[in-house]
Formats: sequence, C-alpha cells, structure tokens
Amino acid sequence: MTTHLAFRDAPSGDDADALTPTSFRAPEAAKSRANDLRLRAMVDAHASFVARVLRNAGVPHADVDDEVQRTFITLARRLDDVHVGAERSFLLKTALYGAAHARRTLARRREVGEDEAPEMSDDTSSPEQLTAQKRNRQRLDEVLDAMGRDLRTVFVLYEFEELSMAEIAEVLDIPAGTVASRLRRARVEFRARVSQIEVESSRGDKR
Amino acid sequence: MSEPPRLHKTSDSSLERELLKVGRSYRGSPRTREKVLAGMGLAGSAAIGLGGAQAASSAVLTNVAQGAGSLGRAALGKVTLTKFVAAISLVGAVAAIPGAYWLSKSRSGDGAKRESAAEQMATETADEAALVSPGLNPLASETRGRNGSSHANLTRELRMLDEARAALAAGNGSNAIAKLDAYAKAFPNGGLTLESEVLRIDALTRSGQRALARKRAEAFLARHPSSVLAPRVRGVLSSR
Repeated sequence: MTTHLAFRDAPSGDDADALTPTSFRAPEAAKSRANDLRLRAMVDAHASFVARVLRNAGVPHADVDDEVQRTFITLARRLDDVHVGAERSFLLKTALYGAAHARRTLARRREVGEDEAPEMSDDTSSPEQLTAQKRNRQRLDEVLDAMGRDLRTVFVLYEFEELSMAEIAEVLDIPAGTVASRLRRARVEFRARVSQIEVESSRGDKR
Repeated sequence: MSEPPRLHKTSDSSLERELLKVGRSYRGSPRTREKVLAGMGLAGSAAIGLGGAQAASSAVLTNVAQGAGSLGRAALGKVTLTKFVAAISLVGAVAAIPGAYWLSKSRSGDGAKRESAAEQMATETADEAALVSPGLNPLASETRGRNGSSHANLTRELRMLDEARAALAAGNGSNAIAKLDAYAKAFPNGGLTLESEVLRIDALTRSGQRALARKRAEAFLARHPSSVLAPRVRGVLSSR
C-alpha cells in the first residue's frame, strides 16, 4: 500500500502522478539527474516539515538537523522504491521511527547529564520574547513527554500537522477508531497537564 | 468519521494556544537544508545562485517540487512533463555529481516492497548505529562541535564543495582534489568536513589513486562507522 496524503503545508499542485518512472524512460544519466532533481525538490519542499515532526515527536533541538539528514538519506537510498507523490508519507514514517530511536538515545544521554543546546529563534524577538518562547517550548516538551508515544504521535500529527484521522490511520497502520480514541485521550491529557501548569504558575505568581 | 476542530482554533486557554503555537511553528535551524544536501551528495547551488541556466531553471524546479510534493492529486498532463524534462536539461547543464550516483552505490536491490521500505531502512539504519556505537547517536556525536559554523560560512563551504563536485562530475579528479584542498585550508574546522572527506575519497579513486582512496575510506569508516555517510564510503570501497 502506498500512501498519498495531503498535509498542512504541502505545496499545491495537481500534477504529480504522471512523473512516474514508467512514464519517463530516460537514459541512465538522465535518470540519475532526475533523481538528483527529485531529491533536491524533496529537501526544499519537506525539510521544515520533517524537522517539525521530529522535534515535536521528541527529538531535542540540538539533534534535529542530524535526524533530518538521516531521514532524507533514507529516502534517497530507497528512492526507486518510493512512488512519486508518496515521498512525504515515506519521510513521515521514517521520521517517526527515527524520533523513537532518538528518544531512547536521549534517555541514555540524560543519564550522564548532557546539556541540550538552546533553540534558535526569530532574530527580531526581544529578550523577553525569547525567554517566553523558551519557557513555552520547555512546557510543551514536558506535556508531550508525559503523554506516551502512541498518544503523542496522534496528537502531533492531528494538532500540529493537521492530518486527517484517516490519513493518520493510514500512516500508522492502525484502525481509524483507534486514532479517534488516542486523540481523545491525548487531548484530555494535554488539557489536564496544561491546566496543572497554569495552576502551578498562578501559585508561583502569588508567592 | 467526523473530524473534531483543531484545538488551536477552539481552545479558550491562552496557555494551550501558546503551546500549540510553539509546536506548530517550529522551523528547525537555518542550516538544516545545507546539511541535508551535503549529506546526500547534492549540490546546493540551486539555492545559492549560479545565474544563467541554473537561475532560469529555478522556476521549473519549483514546479517540479510542487508537483512531487503534492500528494494524492490528480494525474498531470503533458505540460508538466515537458517542464520536468526541461528542468532536467537545465539542471544537467550545471555539473554536479548526482545524489543518485552516491545513492546507487549504497542502494540495495529493487526487490524490496514499497510499503515497508521506510520502516525497513529506518530499522537498518538504527540497528547499524546501535550495533556499532551503542548508547550514542552517531550523527549527534559526529556533528557536535561543528555547530559553531555560521550560516554564511556554511553557505560558503557548500559552494566550495559544489565546485569540487562539479570538477569531479566533469571527470577532472585532480582539479576536484585541488578544490578540496582549498576547502580544507579555508575551513580547517568546517561544518562539512566529513562530507568533504567523502568527496575526496571518490576524487582520489577517480584520479587513479585507489590505494590512497582505500586507505582514507578505511580510516573514515574506522572513525565514523555508524555515520550516516558511511554507506556512501562503503559503496565506493565495494564498487571499485
């Protein structure tokens, strides 16, 4: 089964499917250049998407570039196996797998107390805004980390990437009803933990 | 199945909306693209600006990117196919070692099923890393400490590697090595040092210095066995 998904920030256009390998029989050199072109186009179109998925799936900011690179190299190594138009779905699956591996690595790294590099931010942000952004990123990480992998993945894909439930079911290869159930539970957990943060923050302000 | 509205549109909690905004707006770092292109052995010239044919092709490249990135759309007609062929011709005028060249070295057979390709490759990559370097993220370890390279420097680095790659694509291995020497001199602690070493190994091979190429390849694999670039080096070793 090959997935064809419409994503939140996918480039518009209705002309992907005719670019199949069977419809364009070029000499080997031309095919090589075509693959080169296809890969570069994929990087331009999807690098931000892959980075965002990885980060929200639990990869530390300092490791995101490396995981993005690994994700695209995996695509490159399997380019002939990936249908034109299915690259984004392939990248998503690979990124989710990579994020799971990176989280396990992070857990081991934290045991030895390694610090995480600070995240980049908008150059125009004031120091106060930067502080607020950093604090909110930490809060979001805490909330998502507490969710558990299955709930987190569905939550991230639905709320941040705006995939439909059917699309998520296809990517994760689970029933649509399971997606709906996980999303409900994830939202309950998200709201409960955010509410808890609000209460704790309020107590801190009163002291 | 009914789709509930997204939380960021309906939440009455300002903190919920803020956190959702943080998650939705994450952008990565400015150097992500360059690192990915270099890691795949792709020239970054399209974005750096070579002028001429390359500039003329940029609009077509965009069309192709949009076409390829549009998932689940209707089939396109002859017009876009023409654009695609034109793009190949124009981009081909700018010499670069195609990423596919490297990839063909490390790609396994075509028999794998498409539906499991992502999981399979991710598993292979992760398993390889775990076997060789348990407890470490090989990519993180190899690039940590390279973060000091500014975006401007990284762009310059990528341009210099592109020049070496172009020389190699033109069949001039010696010139490629000279350009890699210039890169090493300009950026002794550059952010793309590993990528340049992989390029050098291939340049040495193509210029007939196979013994030296093999020696450097083996040294690379000994120092970075689980690097994401290692399959490329192994591909060079096994194909000559």
